[in-house]
Formats: sequence, structure tokens, C-alpha cells
Amino acid sequence: MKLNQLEKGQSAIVVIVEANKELKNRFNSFGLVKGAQIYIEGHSLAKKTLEVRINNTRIALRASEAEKIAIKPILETMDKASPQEATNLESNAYD
Amino acid sequence: MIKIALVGQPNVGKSALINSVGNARLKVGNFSGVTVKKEVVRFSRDGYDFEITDLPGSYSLTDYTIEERVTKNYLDDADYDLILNVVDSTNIERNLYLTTELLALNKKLVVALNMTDEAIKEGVCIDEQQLGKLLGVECVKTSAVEKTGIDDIIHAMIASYNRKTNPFHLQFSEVFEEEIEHIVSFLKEKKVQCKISLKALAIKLLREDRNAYLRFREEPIWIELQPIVNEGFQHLYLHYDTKDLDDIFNDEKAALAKGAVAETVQFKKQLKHGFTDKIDALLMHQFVGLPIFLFLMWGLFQLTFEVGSIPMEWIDAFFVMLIDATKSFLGDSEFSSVIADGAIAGVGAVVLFLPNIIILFLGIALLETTGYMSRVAFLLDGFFHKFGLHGKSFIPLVTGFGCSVPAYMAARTLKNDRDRLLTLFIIGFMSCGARLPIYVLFVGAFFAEHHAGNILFLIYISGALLGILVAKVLKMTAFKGDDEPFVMEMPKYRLPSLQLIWHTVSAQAMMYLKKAGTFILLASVLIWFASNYPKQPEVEQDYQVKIEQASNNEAIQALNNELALYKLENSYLGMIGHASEPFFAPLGYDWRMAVALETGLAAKEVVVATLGVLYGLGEDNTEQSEGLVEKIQANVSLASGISFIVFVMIYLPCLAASMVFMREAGGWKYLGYLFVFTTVIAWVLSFLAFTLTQAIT
Ligand SMILES: Nc1nc2c(ncn2[C@@H]2O[C@H](COP(=O)(O)OP(=O)(O)OP(=O)(O)O)[C@@H](O)[C@H]2O)c(=O)[nH]1
Ligand SMILES: [Mg+2]
Repeated sequence: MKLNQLEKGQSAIVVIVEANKELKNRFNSFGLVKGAQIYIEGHSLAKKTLEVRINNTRIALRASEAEKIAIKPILETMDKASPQEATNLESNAYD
Repeated sequence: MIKIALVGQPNVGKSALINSVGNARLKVGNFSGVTVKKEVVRFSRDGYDFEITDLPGSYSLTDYTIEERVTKNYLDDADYDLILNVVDSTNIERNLYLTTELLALNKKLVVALNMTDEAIKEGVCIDEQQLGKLLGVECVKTSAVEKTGIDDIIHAMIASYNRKTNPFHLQFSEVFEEEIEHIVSFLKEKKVQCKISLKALAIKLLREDRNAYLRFREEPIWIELQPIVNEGFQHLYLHYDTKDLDDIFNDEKAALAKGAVAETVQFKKQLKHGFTDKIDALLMHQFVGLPIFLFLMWGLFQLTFEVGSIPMEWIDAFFVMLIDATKSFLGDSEFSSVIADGAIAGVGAVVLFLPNIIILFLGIALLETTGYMSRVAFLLDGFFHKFGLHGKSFIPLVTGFGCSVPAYMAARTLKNDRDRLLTLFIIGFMSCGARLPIYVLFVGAFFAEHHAGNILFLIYISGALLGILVAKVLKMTAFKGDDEPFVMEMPKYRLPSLQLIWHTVSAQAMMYLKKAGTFILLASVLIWFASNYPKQPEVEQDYQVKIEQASNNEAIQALNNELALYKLENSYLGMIGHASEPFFAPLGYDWRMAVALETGLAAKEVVVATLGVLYGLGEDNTEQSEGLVEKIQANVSLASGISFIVFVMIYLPCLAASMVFMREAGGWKYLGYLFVFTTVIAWVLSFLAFTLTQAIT
């Protein structure tokens, strides 16, 4: 499965990044490497551009770039890393 | 003098830190790629002179984009004593990738763990002593915003500077170290001399660093060295099961960073993203995100006009009074005229728009410092992409609404030369702050006040849309090519401090005023001379005789006006204006407007200054002077006014911007293209605007 096939709110583990040297290097420096956990924050109209998060880094990338990243989705969406829970905790921290 | 190279990933607060350390005023913004060229800051502390070079942020030491190249070349070639590596404490693992690369250079290094305030809030605890030991360099916690750790970082730099030895501390994996050792011992045997340590050189060779190879290629030793390096490659390939050296090295870096973080950093709270998430849910929503952005822009232009016009009236009244007072004080003389009608009228016409400029710059500053900028780039990427532009182009384009000069520089963040050129060509369509006075003047003269904000918004939006359309045409013809990938970091939202906003806006306002007081002043006086000379003594005498013979006051008045007009039309400026009149006549401009556009090539502010001087001179001097807006209303028709606005929207940017454009685009040739291309479009569209408005009204 490819990254661009994920829906908003889903997480996945990166299996392999199949891009040219340059792009791969760039992904690498964002921490987007094999084995990293990646979370889909949102996307623009018609899923042209995606916003993803790896650890504490948010990056925007086009669907055509996301296609180069093979992933394995994490199915149980309510696990510890789930954003829902983080959001709830969060509201206390910032209000 | 301690020479320091300031290096770090983008948006970690390098420039902000130097502003705090050295009391400088470097540009700070909350997105990647604020600093695009190196900036030097000098200051003295504790008896030492510091010279810090702020370099563009780099994720790693590669040379893909121009700004990355600036940084890499500086680190490779320039003469500096130590590197100050700024690190974002809230994102430390990723930041350490770059730190390991810097360690491999084997220069003196100090690490600033910046954003400590945010790290504390997010529960990230770093043991900086331990980390320092691990990396073999001093690590200091700092916060550029709260100004903590500033003294410590200075002391650390001084201590590092005074240290004699500089041991190589970085330890790669065993396999890697073994290959490095092989090469080093060979280089040692051969007594190779090198500016950097042999180990650093060996690492460069194993990374296939171009400069390192260029250094050896012409030397006989290369024949022996090559097989050794090659053997190293083969071992690495075998061990890592890949032939991609970047992969191998990235693995090494990641392992080092991970190890360091595991040993020295504690995450006391679970990572949380609620605050940013909540705002993003709205601002980056796939349907409402863009409308919200457009609404905010619309609001900004409403404010620019509505709020800006309040102090404008006072400023206008003030300068009118000043002109009258000067004239009555100095009497009716050449000198009085050059001061009042030249200098004061010209400078006044420019200062008049200071309130509008401030509001516009405030809007841009908020966009830049909150983190919204990158979001809008994200929202617009899909749309931009359709027109052959890159989402990242948004940043230089928005900068262009302020001033084209930094906008041309900001285009450096675009990696691909074609994308960059394309963006450079359309930056001019984003009306810069200096064009705002012209719009405010003409819109104020021809439209009801409650429409003015909307019209202003319309002008900017249609300029931008036109630019994007032009980009499409250029992309299909001159700049054909493949699309560049779009990958961009999104900063977290940050509430800018009042001080930061104040610094940003006041610096720009001061620059505008300074320009009014120097360049515009000079230009206004020049325009005054060009519009008062050559003198026409015979004609004047003729009129003098006629005036003496005239029977009543009215006739005298008429003769006086006739003379003033005759003198103006036959001045140098009048001649230039008349010469170019045929070119501009189909667009509905009189020669004064033609001249104003021509002087506008020097700087857009000069357009209003010229109009101020020219329409001021033509009128009868005995009456009380009118405001600039009234003069425009009296002398220019609606159709001509609209056509003028259209021309100003499109034609060549000012001299300073044109020079920067030429440098960034890479030659005179491009400036020539830009001139022809913008002039043709400006002429055709102004002609259409003029004819259409005339037909309707
Ligand atoms: N909370 C907090 N914010 C900071 C700190 N230092 C910098 N910032 C903010 O971080 C953002 C980036 O700062 P810059 O100084 O422009 O970053 P830079 O590293 O020079 O970025 P580039 O020039 O793009 O490479 C700005 O919004 C700053 O206000 C800090 O110590 N604490
Ligand atoms: Mg900077």
C-alpha cells in the first residue's frame, strides 16, 4: 500500500521509500525512513497535497511524492499513539 | 576576532539567536527559508570581537538548492574559527543528523540547544552535559525568545576558541570506522597535507564528496588512492546490502542520533499536537481553508484603506500647509519653488502613504511569523501546480507583495532552475508595497470610500491571478519541463512576540521613510529642475507685455495660467513626456502621466512624487494648493485612471528590483525579456481597460 492511499487520521509504518537520491535524502532528513511511524494529518482538495506527521515533524507533500512511499497501515486506530487521545490530553495543557 | 559560522536546520531560530546574542536585527520568520543569503553580524563581548555569519538553514550538507550550496560552500571553503550549530530542542533527534555531519568536518563546534522554553513546555528534558560528552563538544541550552543561555553560549564559544587541540570525537559503526582507518593510514603514509584532518578527508572521500575528489584527481597519488577507496566501497556495499552510499551514510547518522537521544533525552509527557491540530482543522480544511485565506486577505486590504486613510488626511493637510507656509515665508522665487513645489511636494506625496504601507507590512509580518505562510503554500499547491508553479513559489510571491527585492532572493529556495526563473518572472505581478500609494491615490480619487477597500483587494488579486496565468503560458512555452517534487516542512504555530512584530514592521517603515528622505527627495528636486528648465525668456517677456496690456483681472489670470502651462510643456520633462505621448496616447494618458510612469522605472514611489510635482506646478500659484487626490480628480478621467492602474500593476519593477532580478536570473538577457514582456502585456491590457471603461461610461 502506498502513502497516498491512506485516509486522514490513519497511521502507518514506512516500509520503503522509492525515490531518487535527492528526494530520498530530503525525506530522510525529515525522519521519513524505513520503519518510521507516519500519521496523516490532512489533505487539500481532491487529495492533491497531503500533510503528514513523523514524530514531531509535520511535512507537506504531493500525492505524486506520497506514491513513492510504501507503507503498512496500523489498523487499531485507538492505540496509544492515537491522535484522539493526544487531543484530549492536550486540551488541558493549552487552555 | 572570533569568526563563527552559524549553521543549523531551517527554522530552528538561528537568526533569532544572533539577534539576541549580538543585538542584531536579522530577519526572523516562522517558516523554512527565511535566511537565503549569508549575513554577517559583528559585536564585542567580554573583551573579544565576534563576527558571526548567519547561513541559510540546511537539513543536511547537500547542494541541491542555492541556499544549501551557500551553506555547504561556506563550510568547505571559508575561513572561520568555529561552528555554532543551533538545534531545535523539541525536535532533537532529527536535528542531530546535521550535527553529526558537522562533527565529521572536524572543526571546533559549539551546539546551542535552542527553543528551551518550548522544550520545557513539551516535557522534553535534555541532559546537556551528557550530550556534550557524547558528542565531544560543548552543548548549551538557550532560548532566543526568552533570552536565556545567552551568556553561556558566549562563554562556550570563547572557551572553544581558546582550546588548542580539536580531537576527532565522532564514532561511526565499526565497519565504517575500519574503512576510514584504512584510508587515513594510507594518506598518512603518503604524508598528504590537508587543511582539514585526514579523518575528515577520508569521510568525505567515502561520501563521494565532489570537492574532495577534485582535490585528488590531478595528483599522481590518485592512482594508488583510488583502489583503496574503491575497496572501502565494496566492503560497505557488502555489509549494508545496498549500493546507495547516501543510504549507508544516512543510516549511520540516524543510528548516531538515535543513540545520543536515547542516552541523554527524556520525554516526560506524551507528544501532543492538539493546539496546532485544532487550528489546522479549520485553517487547512480542504474546503474552507482557501476561502478563509481569501477572506483574511480581503480584510487586510479593507483595513489598509479604511484605517490607513484616517491619518492620511492629516498628513495630506500637513504637507499642503507646509507648502503654503514655505512659499509665503520664502516669497515668490526660484528657491522657494524648488523647496516647496519640488522637495516638499515630492516627499510629501510619498510620506502620505506611510499609514497604508504600515498596515500592509503588518499583515505580511503576521503571515510570516505565525506559521500560516507554509499552510497557505500547502493549500495553494494544488492550484499552483495546475498552472505550472510550485507550492513553494508562494513564499517568494507573497514576499513580493511587500517588496520585490527580497522576493527575488527568496526564490532561491526553489531547487529547480526552471521553476525559479518562472517564479522570478511573475514576482513583478504581485504588486509591491511601493505601488500601493499609486493605487490608494487613484482608487481614492475615483471610487466611493466604501468601495475602495474592495477595489484595492481586486487589484491585488487580479494582479496575482494574471501572474499565475502568465506562468501557465510561460510554462507551456519557454520553461517546459518536468515537475519538481513538493516536500515542505510545516512549522508549528507560534504567537509572535510584540517585539518581533514591532521590529519587523518598524524596520520596513523606517526604510520607506529613509527612502522618502533621500532617494525620493533627490528625485523630486531633479524632477522639479527638469520641469522648470530650460527657461524661455523670450516667451516670458511676450507674456509679460500681454499681461501688462490686459484689461481685467480675469484676463491676467488666464494669461498667467497659459504661461505656466507653456513653460511646463516646453521643459525637459515636458519634451520627454511629449516624445513618449504617442506611445501612451491610446491608453488615455496625458504627457504627465507618461512621465510619471517613466520616472517610476527608478522607483515606484517616484510616480506619486512626479504626479505631485507636475500637477502642482501646472496650477495657478496664487490660489491655495489642493490635496493630491483633488488634483488627480481634476486632471484625469476615470478611464485613464483605471488604465493607469492596470499599467502600474504590470510594468517593470523599480531599478533596484530589476538589478536584483538580473543577478538572480543570471544575465542582462533576462532583464531584456522581462522588460519587453511586461511592457507588452501592460500596454495591451491598459489599452483594453481604457477602451472598455470608455465604452461603458
Ligand atoms: N519559543 C521560541 N521560539 C523561537 C526561539 N528561537 C526562535 N524562535 C522562533 O522560531 C522561528 C524561526 O526563527 P528564525 O530565527 O527565523 O529561524 P532560522 O533558523 O534563522 O530559520 P532560517 O533562516 O529559515 O533557516 C521564529 O518564529 C522565532 O520567533 C526560542 O528560543 N523559543
Ligand atoms: Mg534565519
